[in-house]
Amino acid sequence: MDRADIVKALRGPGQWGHKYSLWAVYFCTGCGIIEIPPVITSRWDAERFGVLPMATPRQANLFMITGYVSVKTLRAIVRTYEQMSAPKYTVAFGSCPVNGGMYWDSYNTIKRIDKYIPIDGWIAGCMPRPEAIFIAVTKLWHMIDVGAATGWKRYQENYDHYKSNQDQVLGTFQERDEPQGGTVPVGECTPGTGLSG
Amino acid sequence: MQPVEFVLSPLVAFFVGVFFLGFSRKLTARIQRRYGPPLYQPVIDVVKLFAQRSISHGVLFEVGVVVSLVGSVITVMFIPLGRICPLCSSGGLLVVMYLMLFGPLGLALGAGESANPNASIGVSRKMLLALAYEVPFLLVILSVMCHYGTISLAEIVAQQQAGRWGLLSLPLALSALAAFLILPAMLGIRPFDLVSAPQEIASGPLVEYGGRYLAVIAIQGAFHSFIVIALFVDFFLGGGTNVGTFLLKVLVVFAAGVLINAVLPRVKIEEAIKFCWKWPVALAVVSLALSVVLR
Amino acid sequence: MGSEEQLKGKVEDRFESARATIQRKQRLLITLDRDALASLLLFLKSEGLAHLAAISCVDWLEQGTFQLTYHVASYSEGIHAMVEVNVPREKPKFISIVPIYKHAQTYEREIWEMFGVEFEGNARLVPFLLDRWQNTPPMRKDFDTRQYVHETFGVEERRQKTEEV
Repeated sequence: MDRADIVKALRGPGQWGHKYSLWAVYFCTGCGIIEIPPVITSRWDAERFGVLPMATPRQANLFMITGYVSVKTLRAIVRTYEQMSAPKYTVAFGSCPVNGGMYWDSYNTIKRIDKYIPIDGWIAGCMPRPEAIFIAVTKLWHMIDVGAATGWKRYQENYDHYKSNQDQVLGTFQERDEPQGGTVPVGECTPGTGLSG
Repeated sequence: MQPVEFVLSPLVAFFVGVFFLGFSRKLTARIQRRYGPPLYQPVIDVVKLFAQRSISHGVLFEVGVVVSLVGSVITVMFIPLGRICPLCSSGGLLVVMYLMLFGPLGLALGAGESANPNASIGVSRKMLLALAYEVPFLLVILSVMCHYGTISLAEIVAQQQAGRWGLLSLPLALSALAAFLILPAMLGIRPFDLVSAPQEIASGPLVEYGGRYLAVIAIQGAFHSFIVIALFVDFFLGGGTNVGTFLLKVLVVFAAGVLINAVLPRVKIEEAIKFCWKWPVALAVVSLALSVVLR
Repeated sequence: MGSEEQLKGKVEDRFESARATIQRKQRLLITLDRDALASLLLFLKSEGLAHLAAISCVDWLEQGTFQLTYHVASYSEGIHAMVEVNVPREKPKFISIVPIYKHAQTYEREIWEMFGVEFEGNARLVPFLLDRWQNTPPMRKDFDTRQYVHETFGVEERRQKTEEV
């Protein structure tokens, strides 16, 4: 066995863990969040897939953008995404994150979420049914297996591109992504100028 | 007391505790008429958490978590699990009483370092809840010590094995009832799961813990649940002559706890303190008086 | 005679610029000069229409006015009256009816943000739903949404390839 084989064998359990224990941060983005409570409760039972809702982004590794993203919500989404711990996966639900959906010419919603945070998978529909969420989870498993779910790496490598898109819509705000692998001393993150109103 | 027991005792607690995490999720799911995750789901969760990067808020943030885990592991060694009991002959109940607090205190120390107001609210709830259940718990321990006339846990188990279970003797029956009433508060399950309340305070003390710290906290939670139930079994259900019967009794008590957890809602902290200081304290005081009088 | 007819009679008697139309049973439409609005609302409140359901605004670009509609309703008789006044578009200033109905503050705040109508006496005309909005108020008919979307969010390009993994 050479070094690559050993590393691959050591990574195996981690990948198994990432697949079968997707903890979704329970951020209710838009109107599509109404599809999530039936999914995580008794009738469609997402827990047998290992998917649990988590109250805090620090503990979550799956972010589901359900529904339209207004400009105020985008600010919160970017902050939440950057607080999640790597490796993290994002799935866009519904047609609004894909191309604006029903709000394609609205002055207050963004048209493509992919410009602001990286997305691993898209689900069409308005809203997709709970079964579509399970198909998405199984497809995400397959993507993790072949190593194609690398949204979080894309974000770190192309941070300037994402940040300039975010600044164009949100105005410059001073959060920063956390450095790879580790500690951020408290006091370095200066909050942005806050939400209006 | 053999050297191998020092390794065996925490190992038994670890495996049984992790099994209990999965078992409780599966049983709760079946009660809620759904399938639920596989029994080894906590193993997947812990492996995933170790494979994730996490942030840290400083040294105390990390030290708190380690302190709580080490405290729980050491506490297990003072409790007889059937015949396995490495440190039974040193201090017994008094040491266990003190060491049991290391778990919550370590987490409070670490969570206080998170720069998050939810963590402070969660820590204050945790300390208040500990205050709530410690009063009846100490009275229960006093009545058990009075009834058996010893502070050694191995001695208590041996007396029950020779005679009858603590549950079946008059003074301790009331103590057992009091202990069962505060058992959900000590385990941190509904109706007293207000410490890490995801919907209210964004997981309370755990709000900034992710990755490997959360894995260690989960393992510590497993140890802590095991310790509480093992104490209950040792006081009132006769311990066990070997590990098998002991674990069977632990499983029964744990299943009872899960059944309560699956159907009850959450209470507020004022209601929790009112509840724990009313009937459990009353029952424990009566039981203490009876065990002193009937000696 | 139904109560809405009684109300129509009373309103037209007391306020000379008011014209009331009964649209259907229990539905009244009143148009009047904007100077008489506050006293009309007070009168209607004393007649039992004590619930302000909403304040809405329509932008009549050709006529050059903003039409403000005050929806008041009565709990006891179920009458819904829509009171319409016009405000000139060049000088969109009007009085605030917060002294009559306290919760009008939010509706007036929204109309201020979306149409640009200023309400004197409203203490809370601060940004509400929009985030750092620098442009003209977006619900005005001369605001080009499509162009704004293209400038801010980019032209929607068609994706050419799909990746099969």
